[in-house]
Formats: sequence, structure tokens, C-alpha cells
Amino acid sequence: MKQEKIIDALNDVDPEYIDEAAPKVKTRSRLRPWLAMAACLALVVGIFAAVRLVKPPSKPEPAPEGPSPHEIQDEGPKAGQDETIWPEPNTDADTILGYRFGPLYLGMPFDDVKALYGEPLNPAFEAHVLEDGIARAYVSYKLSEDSEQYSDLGLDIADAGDGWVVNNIYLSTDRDLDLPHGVKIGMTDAELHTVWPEITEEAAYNADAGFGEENGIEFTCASYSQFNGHLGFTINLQNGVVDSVDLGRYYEEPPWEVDTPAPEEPYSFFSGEVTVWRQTDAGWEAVRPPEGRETKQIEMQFFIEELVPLEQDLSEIRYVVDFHNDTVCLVCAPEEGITDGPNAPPDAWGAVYHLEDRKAFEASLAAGEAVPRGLTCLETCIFPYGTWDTLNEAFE
Amino acid sequence: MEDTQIIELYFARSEDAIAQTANKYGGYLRMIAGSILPGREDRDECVQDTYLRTWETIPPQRPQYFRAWLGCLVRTISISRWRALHAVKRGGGEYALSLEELGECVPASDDTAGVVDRVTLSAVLDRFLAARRPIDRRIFLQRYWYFRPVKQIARDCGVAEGSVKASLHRSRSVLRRMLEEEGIAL
Repeated sequence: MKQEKIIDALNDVDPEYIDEAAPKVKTRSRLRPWLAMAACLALVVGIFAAVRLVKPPSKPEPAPEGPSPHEIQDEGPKAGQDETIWPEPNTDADTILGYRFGPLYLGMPFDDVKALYGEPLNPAFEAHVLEDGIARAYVSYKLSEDSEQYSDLGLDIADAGDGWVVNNIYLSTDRDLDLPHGVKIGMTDAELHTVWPEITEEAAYNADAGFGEENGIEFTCASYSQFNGHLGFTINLQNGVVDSVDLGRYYEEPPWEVDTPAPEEPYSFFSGEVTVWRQTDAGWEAVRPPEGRETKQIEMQFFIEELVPLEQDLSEIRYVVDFHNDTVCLVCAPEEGITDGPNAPPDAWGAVYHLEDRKAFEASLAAGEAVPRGLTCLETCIFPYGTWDTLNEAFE
Repeated sequence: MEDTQIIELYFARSEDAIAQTANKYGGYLRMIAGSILPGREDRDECVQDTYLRTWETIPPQRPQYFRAWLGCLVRTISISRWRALHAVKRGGGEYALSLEELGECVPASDDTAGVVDRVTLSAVLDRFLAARRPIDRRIFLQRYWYFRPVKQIARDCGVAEGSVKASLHRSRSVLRRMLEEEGIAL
């Protein structure tokens, strides 16, 4: 396919461009092993406990000062640069926090939104916890029955520990909601100036927000924005007509931190040496893959995804994996219902241990004991998908 | 840990090199593979292959832009995997959509002199990207290099979805015109 030539050739362009265009990556919480350690401790006293750390609620931070948004566009982000650069405020934060889209406002409890509009189109929304400890998710509604849009109200919601609240509102329906300054979806630029005569003094105008083509119809984009740091109110126009309005964000987005190292794990799957023990009728049979690629594949298999904590007593142990660095995994066979999600297939599960006594450990395996001795549990978990096949293949 | 330190770990054949790479760039690599491949199993295998290929390639290579270098590796591996899956009617995802959109950039072959090689095409793409505004370049690469959905690009760049579509449309038109002016057939 001809387009694939462009896709392939793009791999050879200046890597500086690739670096500067890298999207923000949401890092996954690395707290789970510590939580699981707490769960293991609870196991000792016979309590199976689910623990979840939640940071205390935080309030919107005051807006920092910085260069104008045009500086971002003119210069472009540089590799490694903190991208949280806010424009000079052109209004005060309280004004934006006081704005209403009909009954909707920033910081409004999501339960109140549901009381008004019911469940969103995506009731099982997916949430992400960012580096600031605040969970964020996106939900949408269709308020206007005659609209061809799938949704016309998009809400970013956030939970800082005291429940979901509205973090950002994006509205694109002409349904009769009172908007700030008497703005209406569908009004012309001229009508906008009529209802808000001071708009050009009070809001930054971007005449060249873009142009394009949709369903064969060309359009131009422009916008008016009031902003103060992470708070902003934007009126979007297409072909000179108000097309949508946007209000947010209640919480400041944390800066992009892919370079932040995760807390050190209490275990490690990397040592360059692995011994895998398999349970047989005659006792434990060991295989030690050659150092190098084969060993690394096993190490990577255990490392590739975060372990999913599990509260369950181990059943029959089928494999014991000794990483020769005081980390040992006991692995049980896949079982129906033990999965990493509703649609995920079952895979190996078990626990990660700290090896306290190598002599006792090896002696118990040599004696064919079903559960090796000399170990302290760190985490009961589901291992990354593919672990079961990888261990089976180690004996092929 | 700094990239140069991680690369030194590879040169020292330290087992910690891959762990440090995964710690720093695991999310980035999963994001790229996940944008191309819809299946988690395929995505994870491609990321794992990327770590192994990195181990095998450094040394002798010493990448200057380590993140972009890793990104190129996982992108190539993931695209190869997608093509293999697509051959047996599996696949989907943003990669397939991006391919369709890029059809707009392909000049009519009877207007052009000859079929271009990849090196020449990359040079043209470099000039095209250099000439774009930084925000347009970023949007273009997020769509056709990282294969990100328009909605996510809009959020990432802090612009409306319509602006992203408009920017992409404009970039495709400019690229097509550049290719035609340079007499390049694909």
C-alpha cells in the first residue's frame, strides 16, 4: 500500500521531531506492591484486607504566571522541557470558577450531574490516577435529541479523594442552557458581540484556530478565550458561528513526568540467572535456561506488566521460579475467574516471595514438599499474561 | 536515571539496563505499541521484543535521542506485527485509520516521474516537517508517527478536536503538494 511507504519513511525523519512530539504518557501507580505487602501481612493474622491509599483532597492551585500561549506555538516544546506553561491571565480565577453552563459548574459533584441527566453514555468509564494522586475520567451525554452528534456534552470528572466532581465541561448543543455573558450555541460572531460587547477586551481572540473539511464541507475555526492558569472559558466558532463552549479545568494537570523513577520494588526479576522448578509425579524437576536471551525472556515476562494484587490462598503450586537474587515466585495454574479484567483470559497466578533461607528452600524442593520452605510472602498476585506459556516453554 | 547512564549500562552489559529502560520508558513504549495493535497480548510482546532488540543492538549503537530511538524500534516491530495480523484479517486500531487518511497525500502516479526510494522520501518528509509550524508538526507526528486518536491529540496539545482535524487536513494537503512538486511517486 502506498500510504505505508510514508508511514515507513517517517521512521527515518529527524529524531528530534519525534522526541518533541511525544505524547504525554500517563504513568501507572507503582504503589501496588507495597499495598500487597500490607495485604500479605494481614493474611498472617487471618485477615484478608483490601487497602487503597488515597491522597487527601486538594483544592485548585492558584494560577502561575508564564509566557503567552503563542510562545509555545512559535518555539515548540523541546525535549525534556516542562510543558506546563500557562499564558498570562486575562481574567481572574474567581470569574471563571463562578461561570455556569446552565446548572453545571466546575467542582460540581458528579452525583448531582447524574441526578439531573442520569447515567452518562459510558457509565463504566475508565479512570486514571495521575502523578498528583487525583483520579480523572471522561464521561459524555447526549442532551439534544435531534443532534447527529453521538454526544454533545463531555465532562472531565476528577476525584481527589472526596468523590467525583466536574473538572471540565465541553458543550456543543444548542439545548437551552444559560451560558456566561448570554452566549448561545449557534449564534453568529456578530450576535456574540451584541450580547457581550466587551468580548474583544475581555477575551483573547484566535482568528486562525484552524480550518478543515468535514463531510465535504469546508470550515474555518476561531475562538475567544478567557483564562487564568489552568482555568479557562473558551468559545469555539466554526465558519463564524458558535459551535461549542469549554470550561475548565478545576484541577491543574500535573506536569508530564515520564522521567520520574518509580519507588524501588521489594523484589527484582533481574539477575541474569533463573531456575524454574516444575512439579511432577516424582517431585520437583528443575530446568535452568541458558544465560542470555532465554533467561531474559523469563525475566521480562514477569517484569513486563505490574503484578495485579490478588486476595486468595494459593492452590496447587505448579512452578517455582528462583531468580537467584532472593526473589522467588510460586506459580499456580490458570483458573477460571482469576483474571486481570472482565475480558482478560485467565493466566498464571501465585505469589512473590523473599528468599530467607536458601538451604531450607532447596532442601524442601529436593524432598518433594508441595510448598517450599524458607520464604516470606511479599505479594499474592496475577502474573502478566503469557507467564503460563513462558514457563511451559522453558521445559520444551 | 539519565539516558546516557542507561546506555552505559548496556555497554557494560549490566542486567539493570533493561530494568531502567522499562522503568523510564515502559509507558511510552506501551503507548506506541498500543496505538498500533489493539490486542494487549500483541502489544506486550512487541514491547518485550523491543527490550530484547535494544539489548542486542546497544552496543555497538549509541543512540543520541534514546527515547525516539526506542520509539522507532517499538513502532517498527508493532507495525510489522500489525501487517502480519492484517494479512489474516485481524487488526484494526488507529494505525488502520491513519493509513486511510494518508491516502490523501498520495499523488496521482501519472503526474510524477518515477517511484521514490525510502531515503529520498524521508528527506522530503524531513523538509516538510521542518516547514510546518511546531504545533502542526506535533499534531501530524502524533497522528501518523504515534497513531494517536484525534481526541487524545486535542487534549495533549490543548486545542479543540476541530483544530486537530483542520491541522491534519492542511498538513496532508501540503505534503501532497510537496510530493507532486518534487515529482515523487509512491
